Amino acid sequence: MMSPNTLVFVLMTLLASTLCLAAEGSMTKLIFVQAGHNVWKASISGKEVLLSGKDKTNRSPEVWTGDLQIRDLKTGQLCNTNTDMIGEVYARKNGKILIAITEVGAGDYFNFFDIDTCKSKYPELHGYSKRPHIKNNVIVSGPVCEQLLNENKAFCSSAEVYVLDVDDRPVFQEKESMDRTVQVLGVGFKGGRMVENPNTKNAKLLPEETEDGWFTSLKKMFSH
Amino acid sequence: MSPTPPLKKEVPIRGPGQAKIIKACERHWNAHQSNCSGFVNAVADQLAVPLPHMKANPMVDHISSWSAPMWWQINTSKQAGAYADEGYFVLACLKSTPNGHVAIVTSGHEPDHGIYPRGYWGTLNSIGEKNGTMNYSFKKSHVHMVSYFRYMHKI
Repeated sequence: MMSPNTLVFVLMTLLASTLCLAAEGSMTKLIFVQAGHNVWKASISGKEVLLSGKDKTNRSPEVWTGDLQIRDLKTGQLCNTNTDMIGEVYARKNGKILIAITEVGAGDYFNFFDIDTCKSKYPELHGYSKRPHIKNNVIVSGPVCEQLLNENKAFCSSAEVYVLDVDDRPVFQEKESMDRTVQVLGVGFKGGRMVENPNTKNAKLLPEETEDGWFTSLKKMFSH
Repeated sequence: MSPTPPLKKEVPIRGPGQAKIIKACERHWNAHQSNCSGFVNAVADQLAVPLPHMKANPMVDHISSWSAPMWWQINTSKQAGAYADEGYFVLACLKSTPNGHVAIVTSGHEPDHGIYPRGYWGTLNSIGEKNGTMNYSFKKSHVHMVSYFRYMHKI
């Protein structure tokens, strides 16, 4: 029998393959090799992607503090994405978008750059995912919970599942996001909610007004 | 992100307050390495710093509001590091949707790029960091949105 995780993976793969029929191949994680002092490079479809500032603290997995630059191998033109703390970089063969994932304590940030100009192409996605951040053109973030200290309740954010379309635009998947939220947390919702006993079979959604804590509730009370 | 080893860099301790804060961070980090607000609350509780148990966004609202006069805003990251060196309990905060982020600043010694002080934090759905510089906690383009606060009394 198929596990829920496997089932979700199979469904997402089917969905992704349907949406990406017209695209050439999948988004692929670029593998960087050292090309000089403090410079690492990867190549894809006439472009050279350059990373600098490899982290010196021996952390695992590695991140690059930046810059992240793209050079056109025909014209020699070089542009800078102005991003930092880069954990992974993805591109598609003959694709027009390069995706750089910034990994910092505040979470993961997916940035979509025009591979010719380094300009931001789509709004940045902020999430909490795991490496590899993109699998079969699917981005899965969360769900995540901020457990309140010494309490069995937590403020949880629902899962967000995106599939990259033919233009590599992330398209939010409502049903898959809800399914994953239910599968992981035990309750389904969209956005942020207080949850009692998350990640257990006794998980329960708490009323929305308690999600910000006593202080915000008090402020709301006085503001009316 | 998979587990991150602690940074080996030694930080000179300037006083008993700073030593207490770092000791409390070390003590609670393992249990709260995947929860930034839970980690801050656990450390604050041990140090008897008054901070309601709440998630990151309302925590930032709280310490920046009129109802928390014992929390004072610090203008720059450099000053935040200097206050941490003096033994103040200092927080670095970023409000964000749906989850914000809070980190404890513990030292201004040898800040990365001259501006990023050191600290401890937990990271949702991942592993936070011990004695890391704040550029590993907040991305460069968000640094101008990070606010720093200190509890008014030295620890």
